[in-house]
Amino acid sequence: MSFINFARKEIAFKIVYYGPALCGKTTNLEQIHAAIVPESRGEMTVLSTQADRTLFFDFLPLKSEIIKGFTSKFQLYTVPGQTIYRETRKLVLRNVDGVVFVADSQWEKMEENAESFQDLIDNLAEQSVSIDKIPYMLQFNKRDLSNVAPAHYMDFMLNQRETRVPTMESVACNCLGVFETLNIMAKMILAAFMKENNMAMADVPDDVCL
Amino acid sequence: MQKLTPQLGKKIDEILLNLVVRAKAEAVLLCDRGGNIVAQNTTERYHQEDNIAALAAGSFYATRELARLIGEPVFRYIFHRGEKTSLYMQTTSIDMLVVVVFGKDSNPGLVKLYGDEACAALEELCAQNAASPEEHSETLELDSTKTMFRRK
Ligand SMILES: Nc1nc2c(ncn2[C@@H]2O[C@H](COP(=O)(O)OP(=O)(O)O)[C@@H](O)[C@H]2O)c(=O)[nH]1
Ligand SMILES: [Mg+2]
Repeated sequence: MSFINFARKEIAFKIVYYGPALCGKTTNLEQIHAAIVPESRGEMTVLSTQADRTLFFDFLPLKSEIIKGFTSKFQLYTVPGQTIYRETRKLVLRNVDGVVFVADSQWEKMEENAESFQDLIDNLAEQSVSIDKIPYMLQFNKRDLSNVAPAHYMDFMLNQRETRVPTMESVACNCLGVFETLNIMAKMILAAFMKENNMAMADVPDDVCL
Repeated sequence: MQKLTPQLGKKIDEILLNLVVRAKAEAVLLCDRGGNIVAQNTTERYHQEDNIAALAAGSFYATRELARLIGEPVFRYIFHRGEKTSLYMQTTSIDMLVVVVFGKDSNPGLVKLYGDEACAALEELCAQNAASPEEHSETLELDSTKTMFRRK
């Protein structure tokens, strides 16, 4: 749920990177943090265990001047993918504006992807949010590995709801597809926001790096 | 969608300023349940306020389950006692979180006293506003000269 603060001239949006354990969610945020123009970002908070798995969540605040006279904050979060951290995932999903579902492209991860996607639907439903009503997209990550399922197969597995959503293939650890994903997501959120606020449906400008 | 008008924002700022001064605190943040900063009164030292708000909201609401296990609906206050600097968090009935950072100049009793007062004032303000909402209209416009997120 976006927050317009007319007093502080700020609009805040929350983007959650969701998906099974080790699919590359933290890597997406790390790559954005490392490669984005510095004026667009704050500091990244990574709460990881020694095993390098997210215990709680990661957080990266970004900002943009895309709405005149306002600072638009895009707050990026990751969730811990492991099944036992369901409560944490529900917590992070509070007031979410858009979800990037990161799927691990390796064949042996297909079941985990499907489980995690269902978990997302259920956790949103618990806060009375239908996944079909919020902006979300799919990122097929780890395309560099040899044992990966074809993109059209993953699309068939995960993108079968009434409205088909954008997908992006990625190699997050090499920053391939990472900014494209972020910008598609940000634009989907902006489009939903503009519609809700009856703003003129001018085209959201394209990012130069797309 | 949540909206905060400039008039209401000003009144909230006054309440927070009052809390900072009287509780001799270093920083005060008001966050919503999603971890967004609604208003703040902080010194230069706390420039990562977005991160503080996100973590404070996350860790505060994470105690709900713990509260439930000992038969409480929610913990109203949480203290994190540090060597030099401490953190106090208090929930309000308006589903917002007051976060106070304080040092050796202050103490938990003082912070709680004025924290309670500030929360009561915020609750009253929101009740008043709900009864007779302030009008505010402002046209939002996209800046087509700006790009979204770019690489270095
Ligand atoms: N081969 C390959 N490895 C990746 C890719 N993206 C992330 N990884 C690695 O996968 C592991 C788990 O990534 P991480 O971002 O921590 O996963 P998370 O649990 O979803 O946050 C790390 O060792 C990453 O370096 C990718 O596109 N290809
Ligand atoms: Mg992680």
